[in-house]
Amino acid sequence: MTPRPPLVALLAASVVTLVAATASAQHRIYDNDWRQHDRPSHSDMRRPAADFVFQLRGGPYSPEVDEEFPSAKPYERTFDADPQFYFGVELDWLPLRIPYVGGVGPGFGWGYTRTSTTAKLSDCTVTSTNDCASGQETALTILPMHLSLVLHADELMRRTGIPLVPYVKAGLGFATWSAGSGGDTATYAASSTTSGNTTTTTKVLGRDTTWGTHFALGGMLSLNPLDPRAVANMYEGSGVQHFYLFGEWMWANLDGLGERPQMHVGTSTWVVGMAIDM
Amino acid sequence: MPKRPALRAVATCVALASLLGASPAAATVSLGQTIERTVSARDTSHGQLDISYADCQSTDAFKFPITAVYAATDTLFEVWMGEGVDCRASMERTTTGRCVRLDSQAPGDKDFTVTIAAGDIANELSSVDACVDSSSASTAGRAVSIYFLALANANEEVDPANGAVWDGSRVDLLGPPPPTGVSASPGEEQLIVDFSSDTSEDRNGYYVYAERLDGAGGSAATGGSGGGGGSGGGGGSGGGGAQSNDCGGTLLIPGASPPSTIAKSGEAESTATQVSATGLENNVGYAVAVVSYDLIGNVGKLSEVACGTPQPVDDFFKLYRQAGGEAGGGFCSIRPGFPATSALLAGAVAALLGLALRRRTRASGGSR
Repeated sequence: MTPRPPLVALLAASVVTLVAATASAQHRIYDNDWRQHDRPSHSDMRRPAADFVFQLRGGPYSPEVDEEFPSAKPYERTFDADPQFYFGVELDWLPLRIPYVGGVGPGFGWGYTRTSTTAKLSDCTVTSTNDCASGQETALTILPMHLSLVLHADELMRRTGIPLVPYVKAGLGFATWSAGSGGDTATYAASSTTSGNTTTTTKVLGRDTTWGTHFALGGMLSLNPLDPRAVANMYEGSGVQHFYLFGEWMWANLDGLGERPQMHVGTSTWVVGMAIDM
Repeated sequence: MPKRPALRAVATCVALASLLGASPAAATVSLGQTIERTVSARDTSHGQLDISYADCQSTDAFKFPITAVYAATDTLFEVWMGEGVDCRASMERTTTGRCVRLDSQAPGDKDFTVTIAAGDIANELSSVDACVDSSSASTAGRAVSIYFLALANANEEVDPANGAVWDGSRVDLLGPPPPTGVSASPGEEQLIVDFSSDTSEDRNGYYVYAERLDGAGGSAATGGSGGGGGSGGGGGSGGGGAQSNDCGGTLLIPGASPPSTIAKSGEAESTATQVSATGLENNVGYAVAVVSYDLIGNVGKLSEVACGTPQPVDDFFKLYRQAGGEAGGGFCSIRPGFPATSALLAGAVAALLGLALRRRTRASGGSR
């Protein structure tokens, strides 16, 4: 399930609001002594470019566990195909500037998503009168993270006043995941050996780390034009330059790098959120 | 309003007399700051000086440090106890019978220790017999006051300033009431027990007990309870095996105390509405019941009983592994084959960071 229509609607509404606010500001210019360089688009140029961007983000998350097992579909059999809710934070550091483009630097993101349900009874056939549900909870918790190279193309906004900052991220993705069962970490009896009267069972703990790549493409819409004076005051007080709404396509390609088997806990999804830079 | 000179003079005389210790006929008795117990079995910081059912049954005793300055006429040092009454009033000690004498001795040293068994305090309360509180009052405990009095005679009215009073202990012999609406759902080698309960009383959590119904010995029906400090008194359990529960078991009887022959199978916090009875055997029937326990370890009565049979379940990780998945083993299970690509990417990021630091170092002091 991709929440594209709400995202588009949100962005469209924001643009309309910003255009209206800009028009209002221009109207007032004729009635007072504002100079051209007092306008927000130009005041951006007088400030140093932002070094840090902080994002608070959320969106649907459908782990691609079943792509390894298209017929067995263990994830869908357990949790259905509905996406989980994902939220996360990200901090980008932009120490380098590409002239006429924007800031470049590393970014680290951390996220959290969890789904749970009651496990089905083994060897039970679901009928209209028997859903085969047990009372035991089964859950999957994923903490997707990434360490990426981030490019924020903020020169467009700094030079023209258009309140949009496209950005792109690419780098190393990884996630820790944990499968829960009955309130504890799940285990699976992978093998057992019998020696004399003693049977030893080897259990595998249901948690691990998955490695992969991370790629994201998005755009941030500056909210500064809604209230430039308040933002200017905020900048003086805290160094925060812009408030943004953003939308992003995120591809956490967590299929496992290298030869070690890893659970495919990544996803391709849209996320939205709020951001500041400073 | 100005004081009259005569009254002021009288007050001054009284104060001087008090300082010199000449005037008052009555003694002064004071209680030290630190009250000790001979047995410190409480594993929580709550109610350290309260008396639980287990305390009552043990050899636990309170040690009260006393400092007494006796008057010349004093012939008795007595310890009295009352619930909601003032035992310094002679009528309460001699007529109404609402105060109970715990100890009596001849005046002796100025500083000494009075030792009183917790069981003596509890069992002197009304409706308490052999540490079983059969009153229908709150299960949150009963406030008691212990009075340390130096007396010239048994009928003496004691000035409130002269007797020491300890009211920092409660006698709480009853566990909280059990939860209601108990039901059991199957799980893998466990039963998941749901229940509803209120937030009243001093409930601190729940224990669940499971009785194996096939008659065979099993993990849930072997002896040695771990815990919680004894059941809180009141009416007897269904002893003798004459009673049975709705599941056909004979050990878990609703309204009775948990039997000592069954170990608890799980526990949950006071805010829980579900507890898992673990350590059970699949495909064997069990009866389960829940009890509440309070802040000082009193265990209440068994709830109604629910029946259930643990069964194998298909949790997500089991289905994943059965489908052929090989992941798992722990977060740090980085094994041979650590991704070369990851190493390359990590190296690239590290190089970028180094470059950035170098750039900032060179550009320090300037603006971009």
